[in-house]
Amino acid sequence: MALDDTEIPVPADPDAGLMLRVRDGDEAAFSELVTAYQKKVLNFFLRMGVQYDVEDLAQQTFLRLYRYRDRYQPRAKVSTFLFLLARQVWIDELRKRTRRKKLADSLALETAGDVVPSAADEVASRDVADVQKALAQLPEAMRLVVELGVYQELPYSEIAEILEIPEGTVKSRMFNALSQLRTILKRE
Amino acid sequence: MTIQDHIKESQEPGEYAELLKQLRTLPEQEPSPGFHVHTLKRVKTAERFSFRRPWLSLAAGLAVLLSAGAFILSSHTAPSTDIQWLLTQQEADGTWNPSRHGGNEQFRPALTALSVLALNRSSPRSSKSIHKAMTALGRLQTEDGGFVGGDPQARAYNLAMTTFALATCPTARLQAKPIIQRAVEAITASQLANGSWDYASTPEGNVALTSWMVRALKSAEASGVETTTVAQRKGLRWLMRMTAHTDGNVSYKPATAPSETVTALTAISFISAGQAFPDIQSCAKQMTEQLSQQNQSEGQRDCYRDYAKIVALELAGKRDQALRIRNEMKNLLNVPDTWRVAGGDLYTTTFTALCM
Repeated sequence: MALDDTEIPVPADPDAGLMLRVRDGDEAAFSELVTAYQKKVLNFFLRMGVQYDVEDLAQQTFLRLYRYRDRYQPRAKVSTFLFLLARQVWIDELRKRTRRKKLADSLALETAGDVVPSAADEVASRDVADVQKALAQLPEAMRLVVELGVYQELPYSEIAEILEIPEGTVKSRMFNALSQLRTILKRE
Repeated sequence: MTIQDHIKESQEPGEYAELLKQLRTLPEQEPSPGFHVHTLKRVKTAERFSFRRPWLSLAAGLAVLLSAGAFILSSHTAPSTDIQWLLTQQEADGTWNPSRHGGNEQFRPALTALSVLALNRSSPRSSKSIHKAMTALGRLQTEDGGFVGGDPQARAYNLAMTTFALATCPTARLQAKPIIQRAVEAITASQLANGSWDYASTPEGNVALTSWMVRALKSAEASGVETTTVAQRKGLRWLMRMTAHTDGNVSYKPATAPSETVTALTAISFISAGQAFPDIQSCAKQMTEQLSQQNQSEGQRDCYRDYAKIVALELAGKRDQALRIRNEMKNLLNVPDTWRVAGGDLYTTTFTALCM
C-alpha cells in the first residue's frame, strides 16, 4: 500500500519537514531552505574551481530543488538531494564550458599567444594558494569526494547516494585523494 | 562512516588529521547580500510558482511570460541597439555574463563595464542597474588592481576596457573612483619597457591594446583620478613610432596587414592627447583622412570597427562621415555581426548601442 505524505514518518533531518512543506507550495519553507544552504552550495562550486558564475550556479541548484521538489523522498536527507542537484548543475556546466571553448579561443583575435604567470596566485596567501592548487590537481571524481566528505562533512553513505557509487568506492576514492593531496602539499 | 572515522582507521591518523586541518584553512565565501532575494525571484520567474498566494501565482505567470520573451530575444539575433534588452540581461549579482549570450565568461568585467557605459548613454533611468554593476565590479577587481579574467589576455582586455568604461561613464565614475584608481596603478604596472602594452609577455606591443590603455589613462585623468602622464606619454610615443611609415593605415602589430579598426583606435588616442607631441595631431589628421576615404565593407556588419571609426571621425570633426557609418549600421541591423561568433550577442549589442 502506498503511503501518502501525511503517513510518511519525517526522519531526524529537520530540513526534511521543510522540504515537504516546499512540496506543498510553501514559500516561507523554500526561503528557509535557501537561507540554510546558500553558503554551503556557493562554496561547493567555489571549491570545484568555479570563478565567475558561482552565484548563478548556486541559484540554478535552488531552481532545480524547486523544480524537482516532487521527486524528493523524505527518507533521504535534504542535503543529499541538494548536493545531488548541485553535482548535476556542475556536470552540465562543465559540458557547456567545453562547447564554449572554441568561442573563447576565437576572442584572441587581437592577441598573441604567450602566457605569463597569473598575478592572482601571488595575491592569495601562500597556504591558501597551496591548498587551492593541490585541490585543482585532483581528478574531478576525487575532488567531489573531498568536497562532500571534508568540506561539507557528509557521511560516506550520503556521498555514495549523491555520486551514485557504492560506499566502498567513496572510501577508496577518499583515501586516494587524501594520499595525493599529502604528496602534492609536501612538495609545495 | 565519516571522514573522521576513516582517518582513525588509517595507519597515520595524526598525519591525516593535520592534512584535514590544512585543507580546511580555505576561507569560505559569503553569498552576496542580495543572493537570497534574487534566488527566490529567479525561481518565481522561471517556474509557475504555486505558492499558496493566488496573486503571487498570477504575478509569477506574468513573469514567466516576460522571461520567455527575454529568452526569445537572447536565443536569436540579439537586439542590436535594444537597451531594454540589455537591462533585462543583468545578472542577479549586478554583472553581465557574456557566456549566456554566446561569449566568453572571462570577459565578464569588461562586458559589465561596457554595458554600464551603453546604459548610461541611452537610458538615464538605469542608475539603479549601474549602481549594482559598480558594486559587482568592485568584487571582480583583484588586489593588484586588475580584474578577474582567467588567462593573461582576458585580464589585459578587462583592465583596459573596464577602466576606460568606468572612467568615461558620468553616473559611474564617482562611485567607481577607488576602483579606477587601483586599475590605473595596474595599467601603469603592466606597461612594457618600450612603452606599449601587449596581451603577451613579449616586448613587441599590440597597437589596439596600447591605444585602449592610453585612452583609459586619459579618461581616468579626466575623471579626477590621480594618474601619471609618464605612462601616457610613453604609450603615445610608442604608438607614434608604430605609425611612422604607414601613410595613415595602422596594423595591430608591425609587418601585419593594416586595419581600419586599429587605425581608428590609434587616431582616437592621438586626438584625445592634444599636443602631447609636436606631430601627433598631423598624424591623427592623416589617419582620419584615410578613414573617411575608405568605403564600408559591403553588407558586412562590424560593430567594433564601426564604433572606433565613428568616435574617431566625430573627434576629428567629420560628423557627416560619422553619420554615414551610423546610418549604414542601422540598415544592417538584421545582418549577423562579424564579432558575434567571437564576442556573442552581449558584445555586439553594447558596441552597437555605443554607436547610436
